[in-house]
Amino acid sequence: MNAVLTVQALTVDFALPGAVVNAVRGVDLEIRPGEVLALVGESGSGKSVTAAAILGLLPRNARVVAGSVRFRDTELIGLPESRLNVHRGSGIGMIFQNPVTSLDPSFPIGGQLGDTARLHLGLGRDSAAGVARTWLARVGIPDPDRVLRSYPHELSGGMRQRVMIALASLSGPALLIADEPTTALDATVQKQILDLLLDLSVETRTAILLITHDFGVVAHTSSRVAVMREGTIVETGDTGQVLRAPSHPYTRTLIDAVPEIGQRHVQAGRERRLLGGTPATGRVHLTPRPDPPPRRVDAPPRRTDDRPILDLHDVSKEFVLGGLGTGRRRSTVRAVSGVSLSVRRGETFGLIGESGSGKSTLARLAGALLPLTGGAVTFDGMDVATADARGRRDLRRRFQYVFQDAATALNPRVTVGEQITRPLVRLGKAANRKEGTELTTRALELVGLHAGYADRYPREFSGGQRQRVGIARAVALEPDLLILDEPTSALDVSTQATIVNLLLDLKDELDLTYLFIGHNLAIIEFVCDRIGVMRHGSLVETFSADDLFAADRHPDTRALLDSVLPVTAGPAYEAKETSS
Amino acid sequence: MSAGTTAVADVPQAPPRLRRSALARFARNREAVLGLAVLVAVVAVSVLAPWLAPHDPNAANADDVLASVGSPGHLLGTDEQGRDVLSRVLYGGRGALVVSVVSVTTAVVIGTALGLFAAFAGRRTSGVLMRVIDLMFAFPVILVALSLAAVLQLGAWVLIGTVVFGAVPYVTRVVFAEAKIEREKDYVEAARSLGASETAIVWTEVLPNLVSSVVIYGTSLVGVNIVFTASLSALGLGIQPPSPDWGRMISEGAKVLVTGSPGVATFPAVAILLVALAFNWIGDGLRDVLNP
Repeated sequence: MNAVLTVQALTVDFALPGAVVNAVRGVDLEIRPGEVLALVGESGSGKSVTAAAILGLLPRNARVVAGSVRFRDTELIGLPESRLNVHRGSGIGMIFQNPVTSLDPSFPIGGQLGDTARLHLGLGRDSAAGVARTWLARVGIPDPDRVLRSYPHELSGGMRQRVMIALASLSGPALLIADEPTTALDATVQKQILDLLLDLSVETRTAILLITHDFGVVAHTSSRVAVMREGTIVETGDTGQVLRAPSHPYTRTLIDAVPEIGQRHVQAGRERRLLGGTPATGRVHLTPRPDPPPRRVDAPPRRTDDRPILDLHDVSKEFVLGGLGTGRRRSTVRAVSGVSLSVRRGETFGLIGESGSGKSTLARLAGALLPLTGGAVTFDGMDVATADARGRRDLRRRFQYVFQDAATALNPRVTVGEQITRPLVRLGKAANRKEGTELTTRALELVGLHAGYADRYPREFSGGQRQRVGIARAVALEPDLLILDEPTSALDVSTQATIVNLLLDLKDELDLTYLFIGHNLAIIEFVCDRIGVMRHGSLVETFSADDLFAADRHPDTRALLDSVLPVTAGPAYEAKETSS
Repeated sequence: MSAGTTAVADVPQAPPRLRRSALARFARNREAVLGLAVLVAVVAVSVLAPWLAPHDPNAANADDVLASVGSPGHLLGTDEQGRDVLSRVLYGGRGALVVSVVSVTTAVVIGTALGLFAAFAGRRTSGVLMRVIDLMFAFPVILVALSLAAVLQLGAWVLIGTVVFGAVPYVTRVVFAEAKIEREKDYVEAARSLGASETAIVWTEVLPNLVSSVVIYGTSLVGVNIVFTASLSALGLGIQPPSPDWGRMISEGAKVLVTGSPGVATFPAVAILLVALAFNWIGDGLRDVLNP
């Protein structure tokens, strides 16, 4: 009996108005000291509910119906709150997905760490501060004394997640539950955080239950993996074995959905698509057009010529902060400085960089959603900034955006159909509302949604469906250029694969040019023809996607390349396997 | 692959919607239903007062002054002029309800327009406008009522003017704050990228997202202002005697409250309390309906 945590036949029901949802149905898990167990699944598969049930943190409408959770020798199910609190924090630590919301914004870091140390270790004020400092140094924070005095909003996302790990670990818990600890972080930071967790588990023999949807994270970090689907565990096993030879088809689908770096040439002789996604889009046309001649699958793309459709020349943007009435000194922040690039008709141009590198700002500048501070943007021969009303209208129709988070980019109070129809009528694509509604129906079918969805509100859709609506809204106008601002980063891997495939289909179908913005190099490399790397507001370099591995790549590009976590068992995992 | 609308077979069928209708959600909120019931009853009684009231509310009777509750012919007794309290309570809601609903509606429309304008105007314009609103906040409302009373004829118009002046800054502030938040959301930027003009963004994109909070806030404001107009009437600035009015009745009844006739002031007070509560409960119910 050496397992830290044993979960047996755990079943959790949610009572929703008019229905009972079986979120978790008979889950068995076992974690031993020093082990990293990854619980993998799509959103809605019940992995977070399982974690919440272990800590007794279920929402009020949820109930553990059956099963047991044994932590060391204590049965946690059915324990009253006061007895559970003995184990929370000191026995089981929790790291949440979003470090922005899981640290208290009103207290400095030192106070939050010190309180935890005093509560769980029974230390005095001074020694608690000492412990806090030691732990900050241990989680790799370079100047612990400054951070101790800082408030959460003064730290970056990666720093905050380090603080969160220190907070969860300083009481020396036997088990750490990390719920998607790196999903909200940049790729380069993700690897550091995961390595930190790995080091902790090796040094202190802490068992870690790592909840994630990313097989790259699984391969990099965990020693065992449990795959969860619709509330049940479909497969458990050693990470290496599961990744090499998954026994359940669902696991296979999930692994296939993750694009691997350097994979773009593997599928020779077939159209470039991700395997995990549902293949078909509704092959319908928006407006009647002559049937294209049947293409050979390996034929070159139809319309890649060197005429740029979008040309950015020495573009820069400064934001003014503070000033009169804000109580702060007026200052300017340079978000984009001196970027020149051109996107050729028919290609997919990838723009990659960490968050805050100015790539989204650049996208907004290109479409004149923000005024330029300097430089010029030319769209198909027309200067965007000086366009008159008619030119602007034409630009809006031919130049469209798909935003990162469809949940916020769709108006929550307007039906989906209305949101697609409105711009069609407004920009003269449809002569009247009747024609607009017809086009809306076709656009919805084109992205694989039933036309009956048109009278629903965005909240009635899943994340992937919402992104489809966002895409339908943009392509219904039959634009020439589509800017995709991280269109899949808020989605599950399998949904991401479906959306990526849909975008690739649509590109062929509608002769689109894409400017694809992302922070996941594997996706960018898979989808794009050329790649631009941004850092601190400047374009570091531009190269063909085929030359990604060339020796003369810029160090910033190399850093991005190093941060990719390959699904095939990574070096960290191999090292761990040999050391234990 | 043919041109036209050849839908593919594997387009998923639209599943049934898992959502209660707005009516069902309102009906599930017990307080909201109770509030609505009270309000419907009060409105019905006020409208039907001429038929329901046993006496003329203004008919004084010097022989039957300050009759106690339950005395023959006067279920709720009479006041110090011998007028039937029940009849006056039945009539007394007419002015109060009309005044507060009309003035709050006006204030909500003006405040929403001002708040939206300020939120989408340039920094300087919105700064000036919001400082004016701050001045209105700081201005004693009772002074407004007194000055209006000096200019206008005493009565409902003084009340309406005062309530509008008092409520506009609150509504403007609420709308301004919410519109500022909505303005920064992605869907506004998306609408801009889809060619919407600023006017279209304000009216067709942002306003639908504010309607629920404005309606909820306005409903509770009606409740507050029923009490407020009653206070003004009690001070003699509102509806003038001999017209029956709850506020006026309370101030007149207060004189005899401790001398053995508590009913004269208490019954109109209970009526005000009920109506104010009803509006607040409906506001809560609407919150559930409009923000699912």
